[in-house]
Amino acid sequence: MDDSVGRRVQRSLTDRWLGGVAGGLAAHLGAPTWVIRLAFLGTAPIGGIGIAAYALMWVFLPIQAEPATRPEPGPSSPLDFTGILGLLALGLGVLLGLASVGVPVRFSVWGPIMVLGSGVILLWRQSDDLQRASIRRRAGAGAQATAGLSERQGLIRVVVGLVLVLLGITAMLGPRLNLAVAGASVAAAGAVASGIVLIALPWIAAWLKGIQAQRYAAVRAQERAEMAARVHDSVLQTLTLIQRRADDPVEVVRLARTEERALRSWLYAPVGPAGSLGAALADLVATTESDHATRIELVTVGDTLMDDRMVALLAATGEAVVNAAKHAGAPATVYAEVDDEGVEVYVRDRGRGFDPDDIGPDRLGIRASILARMAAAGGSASVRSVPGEGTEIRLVLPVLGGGGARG
Amino acid sequence: MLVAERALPRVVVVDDHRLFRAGVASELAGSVDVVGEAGDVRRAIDVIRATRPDVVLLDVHMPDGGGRAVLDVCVPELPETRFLALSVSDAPGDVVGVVRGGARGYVTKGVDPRELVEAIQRVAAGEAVFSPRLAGFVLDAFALGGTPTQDDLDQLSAREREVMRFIARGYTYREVARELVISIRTVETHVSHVLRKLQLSNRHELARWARARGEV
Repeated sequence: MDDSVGRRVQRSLTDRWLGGVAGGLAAHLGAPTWVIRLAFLGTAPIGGIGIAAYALMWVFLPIQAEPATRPEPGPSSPLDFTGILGLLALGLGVLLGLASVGVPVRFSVWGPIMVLGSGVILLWRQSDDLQRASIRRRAGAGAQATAGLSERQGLIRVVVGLVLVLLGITAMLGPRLNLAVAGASVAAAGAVASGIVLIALPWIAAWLKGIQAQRYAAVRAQERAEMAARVHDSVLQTLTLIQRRADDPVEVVRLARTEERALRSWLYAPVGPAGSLGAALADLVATTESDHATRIELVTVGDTLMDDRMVALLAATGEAVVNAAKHAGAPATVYAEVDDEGVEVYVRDRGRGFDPDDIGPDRLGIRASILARMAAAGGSASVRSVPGEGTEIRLVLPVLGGGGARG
Repeated sequence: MLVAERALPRVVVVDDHRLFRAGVASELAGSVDVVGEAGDVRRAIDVIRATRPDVVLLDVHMPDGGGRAVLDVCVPELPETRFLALSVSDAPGDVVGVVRGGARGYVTKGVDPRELVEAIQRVAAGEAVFSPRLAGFVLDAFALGGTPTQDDLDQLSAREREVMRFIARGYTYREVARELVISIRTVETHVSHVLRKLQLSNRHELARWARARGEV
């Protein structure tokens, strides 16, 4: 087998009529799929070589593990009964053609074989499609990939397949069949078959369980590896840093906080979807916390998407938060509330506080940056500070065109 | 019952991290009477039954069912014992789980020792303890506005919402009382009512909110 490409032949996940054998071979050999299909069909009448080869490859070649790199050609119409009928018609046509040319064709032999073959193909397709569906699911190829494979459809396929196989066998044996004897031998065969199943049952069960256990083990190993990588990359590094900086409590706290946040955001989902005010605020608070080695609690109620005005609000909030972190010397709280009327943000610290009236407009960073920013965005800001009790800055950004700020 | 009120609250600390238990016990020394410790659900239930404490500091995340499992057994059995949930996680699913399981409050493990003592005293007195985060959760879950329903449990009153907003902004009960010009006692009553609504409401937004915002 040509293995120059360095990988095994795999049955195609997408390019297929029956088992994807021809598609897989074509992809491997770099030939058009129809050529391969023609080769199988052409060699089929020659002692059934084509059929046998196809069947063997169907059984032994694995299904392509990952979806093809090229986009899936729409919801690939899985060849169902119509396809089987098509193949049957094709076979019948070939036989009739041969017969008309004068080749002696024994329909009594070929008919049952074709019926039997259709049944086998149907049954194989069913087990095959289950595998394919699970591969697609793992690859996250979306629900529509498996949509064509409802459970009921699967059951119908299995039943029809079984009936076809039985019909085929019966028809093959038909001419030589004595019905009375047949009944007895069917019963005997059934008894032997159920005996074999009974004997083999424990092994089959153990085998299935083994497969499942292996799968679980693989998943767990992967999770553990991910966890280990995470712990190594961040936690161990941080712990090492903390040991080196043991004499600098501020730095130690900062490192611990940063690491804590990183772990949290990894373990738990982030506050809001990317591009939302909630996520932006969480980001802002995180940065300020690690820059100023302080604790800031963020509470958000409701959320909205970021736009230009929200960016202005965020910048003003940033000023307020940094101000709280720098001057307050105590934990701060950021509370943001989004509703139909607009956004309100409160930044509160329990620090020293100050008397806003005492500070001239030139000195007050708050006035210049926060108030001006909010005013430009069509909002407002107010500062409340009591010496010794802390400061609270309130930012209000009403919805455009809506009523004024809320109380 | 004056004597009983004056006495230090008797506290059991339940947490599967030994270091954390030791830390809390030493922080609380002198302010509360730590009468027992437990590191897992089974031990916790035994210790709580044996000591019948005023307050249980209950870790949310433990093997074998976590704080919720302890609540499910102990809350119906010991109506006199109050539970204050402690957690490193702010995941809404956890918060709503323990509060609906019967905890009278929820604080994060990073809480300042002074605040923790205050929270324990408040819970011991039968009040509810809301962190800013929990208040925010309530406001979000009992969505601002929303369609009014017949059931009183599904609505926050305007005053309750006001109180929740102040707490979410980082105000203490005392500060809330001053802002609204009401007594601390009244603030406590409002918060207790909100806690009751949080515990008993069947509002589907609660579940939806917890699912959307958190895991578990």
